[in-house]
Amino acid sequence: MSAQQNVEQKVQEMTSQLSVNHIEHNLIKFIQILRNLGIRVSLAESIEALESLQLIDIINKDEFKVTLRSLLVKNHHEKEIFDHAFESFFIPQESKQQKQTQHQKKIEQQKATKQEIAEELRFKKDSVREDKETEEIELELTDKQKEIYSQLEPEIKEKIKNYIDSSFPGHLRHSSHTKPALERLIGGSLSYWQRRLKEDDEHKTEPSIQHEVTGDLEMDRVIEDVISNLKNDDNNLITKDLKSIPKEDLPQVTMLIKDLSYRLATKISRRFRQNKKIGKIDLRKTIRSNIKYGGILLDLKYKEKKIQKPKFLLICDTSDSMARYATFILQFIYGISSVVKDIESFSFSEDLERITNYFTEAGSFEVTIKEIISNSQQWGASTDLNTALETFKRDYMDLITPQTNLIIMSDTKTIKLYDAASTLKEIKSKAKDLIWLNTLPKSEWEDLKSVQVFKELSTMIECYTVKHLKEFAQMKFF
Amino acid sequence: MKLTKDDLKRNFAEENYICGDEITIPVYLALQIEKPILITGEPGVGKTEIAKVLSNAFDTELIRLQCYEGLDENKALYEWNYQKQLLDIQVNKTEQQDNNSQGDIFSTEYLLERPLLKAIKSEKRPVLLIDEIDKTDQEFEAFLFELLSDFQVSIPELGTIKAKQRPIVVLTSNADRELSDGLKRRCIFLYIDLPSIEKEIEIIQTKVPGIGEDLSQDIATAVSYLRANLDFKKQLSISETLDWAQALMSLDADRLSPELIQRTQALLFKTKHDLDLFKKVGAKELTQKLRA
Repeated sequence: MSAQQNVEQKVQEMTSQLSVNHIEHNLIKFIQILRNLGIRVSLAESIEALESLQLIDIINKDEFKVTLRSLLVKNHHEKEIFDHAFESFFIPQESKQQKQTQHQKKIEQQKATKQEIAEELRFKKDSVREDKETEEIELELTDKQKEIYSQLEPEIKEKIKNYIDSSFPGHLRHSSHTKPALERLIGGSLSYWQRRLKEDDEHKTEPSIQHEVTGDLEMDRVIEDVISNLKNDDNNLITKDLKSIPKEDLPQVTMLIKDLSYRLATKISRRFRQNKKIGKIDLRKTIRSNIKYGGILLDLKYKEKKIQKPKFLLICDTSDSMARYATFILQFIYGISSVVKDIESFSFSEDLERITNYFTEAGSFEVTIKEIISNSQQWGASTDLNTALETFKRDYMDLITPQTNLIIMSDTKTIKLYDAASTLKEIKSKAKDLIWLNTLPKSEWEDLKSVQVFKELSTMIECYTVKHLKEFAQMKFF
Repeated sequence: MKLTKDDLKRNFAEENYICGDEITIPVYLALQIEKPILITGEPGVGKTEIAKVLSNAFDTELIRLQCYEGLDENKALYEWNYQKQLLDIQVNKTEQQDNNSQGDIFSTEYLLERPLLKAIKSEKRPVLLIDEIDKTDQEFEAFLFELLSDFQVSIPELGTIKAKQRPIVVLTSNADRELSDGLKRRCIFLYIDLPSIEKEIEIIQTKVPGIGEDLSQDIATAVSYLRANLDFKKQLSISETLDWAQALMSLDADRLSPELIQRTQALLFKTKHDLDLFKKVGAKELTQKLRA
């Protein structure tokens, strides 16, 4: 072998090694992106995916994509995320570079805005030292709070700034507790504005995927791309907040919920019809049916496993802020009430109302819901869970048995919070389980005392989209 | 049973299963790395058909396990033939034979093989179709783990039986419920989407021989329009398209007309809700859309 051939062979080996490493590196990065987007990929699956690439033509992009998809994805929802991530990650080097630069600029812009906000939200504290008159202290707000602040109108910003300036006058400024107290107050005010902003923006959808910033420019870019693409998809009705679904999409959502309750109803009824599982031998029946064989036990008879039907009691918040959700939840309950007979429904706002009878009469859902709304004294009023629960305790406590799954659907906001919690604790002790369907996004739970209080008493589930409702329907007790 | 991607594509074509790489590649990978394939998608898109195609292509037995709520090991794996055991004991007693033979009542002679055991004991690599796995309970799913990862089953009286030939396992699901992570992790995932207009024309022409080009185009376009614009309770599947095409052929149709649609609409819409929904669009308007 000539020296030149030797060199050529070495170069070839090195390039092939380089290309294998490059693929490995890219694949690992891609898998990390998928994990960040909520797709669970195990180490074994990653290795298998890499090994499988030897079986296909990796130059063919479609083949490459289908191979990875079949090994890394496990359901239809993940498939959508995978497709977006793949198209955003595996792009020509030049486009990658271009997108990266754009993303970098965006990050720098965001940093600058945050800096500006930090500058604006400074608290002037009188210095205890004589040589300095005042010192400015930066309030430690979260990135989310700063983002909300940046979205506010100038006049509201001004109000907040003035509030900071005028807070804690005189000697209080020297206290070491002033800064944290002010941070809590501003935090509370910003949470209020966050809710207001959300209510104003009818069509805004919460991202269905919660992710953390990885710090890797490329990975963060792809993750953000995927999230924004998923938001823009037409079929995102299932992840849209039920309260902000536009009127034109209402029939479609109604259809989705009907379908969901129909499936659930079929599932429940099938379970009780086809219990073919073999249990213990029923001696009495076996002996009786084998007398014809002279007492030889040829034909065995089994005791059927008795499964108790799930029993539900729903207490639905129909106060002003909850009315829209209540319509959807009641529709869901209406759907399964045709199969599960023992379903009791109540609505409440200032007090409690029993609405079970509306569902037992065979009317269409539209007629039923119209009747409930027109006859209800409670629909759209303010919230007092304690009074409602007290009424329940007084008049309907006999409906609760150790088999009852108590379901409460509410955003937890009520007056007399601690009284309500103690009454609920008492009711819960008589029931099998307490499930709380909370219509507030999980991200807001931490800020609310009421959520913390009721969360201790119940299994709390986030429930403000069709997707959440679907997850609820897949729970074991159904 | 080694084969190339092209061989598999040819096999699918020979079996009149029209599909692209999005289906053949996952199936090819499942065959190569000997993992089960989990196929999901709307009812009637051809999930079960893939198992049949594979069985024909490899000229091997198709062993089918139809799942339902309450399915257990006795129906899926094996059962001791209790009556036979008991009768043999009685016969031995009356013939006053010695008791030695009674020790054998837990032998393969008394074993009733159910689909899973049959697939494992098969001499030639069979295709094992576990249909509608989402209809079973979670405990049955867990029971399948041993089979799907190691291709072996344990019978307490006989010990562990290892597969002579690893079966080609095809699992199908209509996504009635979310399957467990353990099961999904052991499978290669394939989602079959409803076909594009072009692909559906090709399917119609392959499955309904003799159908005119215009008619198959009309049918595929109409079905695609209905799927995209109306929220049917029961989505129009490929099997319904084919039934419709067959019916229109038998009525000597060469193009779709409002009258023909009205006469054959029962083949497409299976619930009153879907039929009412279609009536809102109407056969006339649908034909106009096709000609537009």
